[in-house]
Amino acid sequence: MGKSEKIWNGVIAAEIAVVSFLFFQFFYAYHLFFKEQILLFIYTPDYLLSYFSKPGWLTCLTGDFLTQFFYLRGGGPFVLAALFSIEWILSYLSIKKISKSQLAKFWAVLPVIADFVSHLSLAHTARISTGLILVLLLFLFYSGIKNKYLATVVAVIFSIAGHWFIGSAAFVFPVLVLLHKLNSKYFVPNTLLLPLVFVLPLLIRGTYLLPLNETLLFPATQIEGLLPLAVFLFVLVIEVILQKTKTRPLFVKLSIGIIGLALAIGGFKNNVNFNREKIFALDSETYFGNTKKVIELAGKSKFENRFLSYYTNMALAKTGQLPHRLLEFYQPAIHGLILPVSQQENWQTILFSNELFYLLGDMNLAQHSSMLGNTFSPYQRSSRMMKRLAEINMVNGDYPGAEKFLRILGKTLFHKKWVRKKSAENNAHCNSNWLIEKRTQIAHSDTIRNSFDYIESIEFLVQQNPHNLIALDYLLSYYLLNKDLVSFKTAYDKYVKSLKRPVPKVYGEALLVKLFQDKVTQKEVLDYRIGTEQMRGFADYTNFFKETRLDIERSQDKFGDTYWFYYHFATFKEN
Amino acid sequence: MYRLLISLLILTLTVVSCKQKITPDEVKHEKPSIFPDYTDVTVPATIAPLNFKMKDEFSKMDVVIEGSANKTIHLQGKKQIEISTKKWTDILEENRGKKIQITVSAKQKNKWIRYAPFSIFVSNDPIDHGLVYRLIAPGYEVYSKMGIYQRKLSNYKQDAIIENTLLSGSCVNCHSFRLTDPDDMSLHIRGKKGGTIIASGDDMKLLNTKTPKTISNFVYPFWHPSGNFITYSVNKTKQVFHESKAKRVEVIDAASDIIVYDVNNNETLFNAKLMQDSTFETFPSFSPNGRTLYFCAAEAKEMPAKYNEVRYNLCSITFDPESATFGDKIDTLFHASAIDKSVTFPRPSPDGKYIMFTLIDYGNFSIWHKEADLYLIDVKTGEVKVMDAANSDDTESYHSWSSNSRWFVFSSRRLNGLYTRPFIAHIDENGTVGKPFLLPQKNTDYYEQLLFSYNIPEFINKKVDLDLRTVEHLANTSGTNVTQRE
Repeated sequence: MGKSEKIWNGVIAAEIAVVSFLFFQFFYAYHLFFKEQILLFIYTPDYLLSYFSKPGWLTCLTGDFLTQFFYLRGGGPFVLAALFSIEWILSYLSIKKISKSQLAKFWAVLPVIADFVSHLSLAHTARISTGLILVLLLFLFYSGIKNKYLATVVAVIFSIAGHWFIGSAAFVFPVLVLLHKLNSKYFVPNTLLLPLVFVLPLLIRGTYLLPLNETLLFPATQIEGLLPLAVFLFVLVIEVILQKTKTRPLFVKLSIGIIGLALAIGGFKNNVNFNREKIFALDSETYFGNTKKVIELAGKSKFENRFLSYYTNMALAKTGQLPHRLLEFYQPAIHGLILPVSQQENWQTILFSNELFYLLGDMNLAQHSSMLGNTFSPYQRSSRMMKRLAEINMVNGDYPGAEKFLRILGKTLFHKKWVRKKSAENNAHCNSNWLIEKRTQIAHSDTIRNSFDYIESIEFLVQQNPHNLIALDYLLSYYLLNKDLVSFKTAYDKYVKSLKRPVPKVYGEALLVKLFQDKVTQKEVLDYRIGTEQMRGFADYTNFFKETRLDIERSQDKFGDTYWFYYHFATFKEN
Repeated sequence: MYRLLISLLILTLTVVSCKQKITPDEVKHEKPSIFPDYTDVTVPATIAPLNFKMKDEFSKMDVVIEGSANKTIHLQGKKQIEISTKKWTDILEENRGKKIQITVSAKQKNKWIRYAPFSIFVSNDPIDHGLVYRLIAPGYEVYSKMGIYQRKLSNYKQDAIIENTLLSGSCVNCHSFRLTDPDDMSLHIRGKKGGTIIASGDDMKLLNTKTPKTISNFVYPFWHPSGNFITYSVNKTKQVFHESKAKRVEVIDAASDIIVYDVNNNETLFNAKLMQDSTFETFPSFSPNGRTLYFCAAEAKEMPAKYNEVRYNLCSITFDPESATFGDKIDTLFHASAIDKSVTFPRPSPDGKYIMFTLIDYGNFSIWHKEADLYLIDVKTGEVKVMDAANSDDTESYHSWSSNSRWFVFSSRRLNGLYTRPFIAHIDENGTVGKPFLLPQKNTDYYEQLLFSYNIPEFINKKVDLDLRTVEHLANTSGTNVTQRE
């Protein structure tokens, strides 16, 4: 390799690393946090042995090992940048080995682009990248063997056993061998490797308890997961054809550029989801306890979505701002308040749903939702759900239950610190401030309800403890967003009037509508101690309403964040 | 030189392999607090080694296991005591019908503490080949990953019989065998590829079990000893949640009936007495002679409003397997509602002497009832007794008998209140119950790390050999409709 070649290679590897690091760090970081939260890599023999129960144990083990570093800020982008650079180096060496092409360095970028754009999808994991890396390492190892008999033995062994330890990436191995032997007399005998690679997965798939298609795809869960491998094979085949046809280098370079661009644009368009990144941002910041940041991010976002409303409302409720600022943010009726736990919802929604139940103090529903969130996460082991389950059991005073989850988390690399703190509290059965606070929220008497009777459940929490202001604000907000002013006023009279709480903006606005509808006396209105400014505002609104005769646009400019406007004009739209 | 090296190696190995006898710094008169609690339990001679560890912190353990023939096993461990299968099997075989004594010393805070020895009683009564159970996250009504597994009792080997990953989007449940014989098996698959698998000998079929006369698909099964019939309940089941942290979930039936399925003729047999609108009938089981059908029955109530007023009694009706007909009278064997309690999971012992059941405050689904305890009724005398030795402060729920009626396995939440774990206990011919032991695992941390509950533990007298390709094939067919006998 000449000096300029080395420089070129260094530049490409560095560029790949820098571009991918910057992108994932600054534009897609929360996806990577989320990928760690739905995994739990623990250092116990039983856990590590469990990888042998499915194909591609080495690929999965290394992929999951690396994914645990996504927990650290910058950890995910760093790991991916390193993986892409290694992929490029190995692809380059493999292509060079097979085709001796001077353009191998450019061709090798294509599978990396494919893996990069695939990582934009939630279903794509580090397992796929490690699969590609491992199969390339196997090929380079094989092609480095000088003794042809030994090489044949190694090729046969890798073809037979490859699926066992690297999963679906193993299917590429015999193709690489064949392309490597294309002009040799060993080409024909080596074609036997092609059927050989399917023998083991088909024979032992019963032990994996997977359907045929999943056995062949594993560790990918859908066909799209094979894109990096497919692109790598495509590159090799095209390169061999172009060499045979002695195509001009300029044309080849141009082709690489066009294919790379098409792959990047197509893959990006297909997989990137910045709206989901916004949801994960609010979700993760909620998990990290950064309530202010949640409100700040929600304020900046133009995206209207029930998940964003869900996290924003929780942050507002936590800081006591919900009844003041509810309508400053997008509200898809009641759907942004509570996420239902049902078979109609996807696993992410189920995973998110525990946050509210925990916040309100409904520990049974929080536990139900966390258990399901954990079970429905892709590997049935979510570090985030484990933490939540530990907290719920601590709040309930179920110390042995909490200890179970704490001990599991204690065997991870990055959750140990959190565990140490919580374990100390759990072992001492002590009453830390957060425990005292949470325990005041939980119900002390009993009733039953259907799993989807959320509002009944929230009302029960309020009946138990009218000072549970978060539950109270959720109850009232639910009625308001449902435009159910009768229930709102009943609940307000029952629970809020006695609290001597200054009337929050949204409640005051709603009360005025209801009192106006009920044509109550002035004395009765005064009883509610609604601020004079709000009274004046309501008068302005009614006058404006009469004058403009349902002019939504003009009303929105002036009264868009009022309950009056919501009550008259809000209609629910799906997104 | 070589000789010197070999001698040194042998010497090193000898030193390493010899466990030094320890001299305790302190001798305590109480028995050690160990996990799992194997102190004074009764075990079969073919059980896998009972590995254990101290519950409290320790840096090293020293254990001496002594049998009556003066044979001892001396073990040390830094994390747990791991007993060799060969030595363990030998010492149990030599001590059948006798006790073995275990002396535990633990190095705690740099001091060796010797605890009072405890015993393990090795029963003469054999136990079946293994257990079958479902492992499922305690996630209540919806399902993701789950499977049915078999575990050999003489070692730690667990194999999957079926996992729902094989049948995407499905749930597998309610496995049932005829008198512990896995050649006759019933298994439900719920979801997209749903149906009931009936495997009888070499024959396997997938049934669509809803009939115009029944309120649901077949639910809780129990095989007739002849293998010609299976009784099932049909239930309109619903799950509701408690608000109180002391309770969690309630599974209630808004309606339920009992039917008998004729395996050979693919027919459902009905009896009006087992399908009354005014009564909830559920959890049926056949007596070992196949001539009595036991079940739970409660006065129907408005559900879920009056969920905590439903009290099930233990009832029976005669059944004639030759003519496949029922008697005309329902007997109440245990009037639990009279004492404000409710019976669930009645399981007759294969020798016909007892029926074991779970007693709870109300309802029939005991798995989240902390007060759920195991009881025994003497079939001849009708005497009911609580199985104190097996019960704990937490839930004891599903149970099943070994084929010789000398052992039973049950699920209990006693370890942490969240996950059910399988415990096995000995019961003698007089109904005296030994202290139960947790199903042993090689790694004592196994249960701590397991995020699945053990559901429906059943004994099997040999390995289950379910042909998964046939199951997969059947699941992709439309199945066979069950017919009704008019």
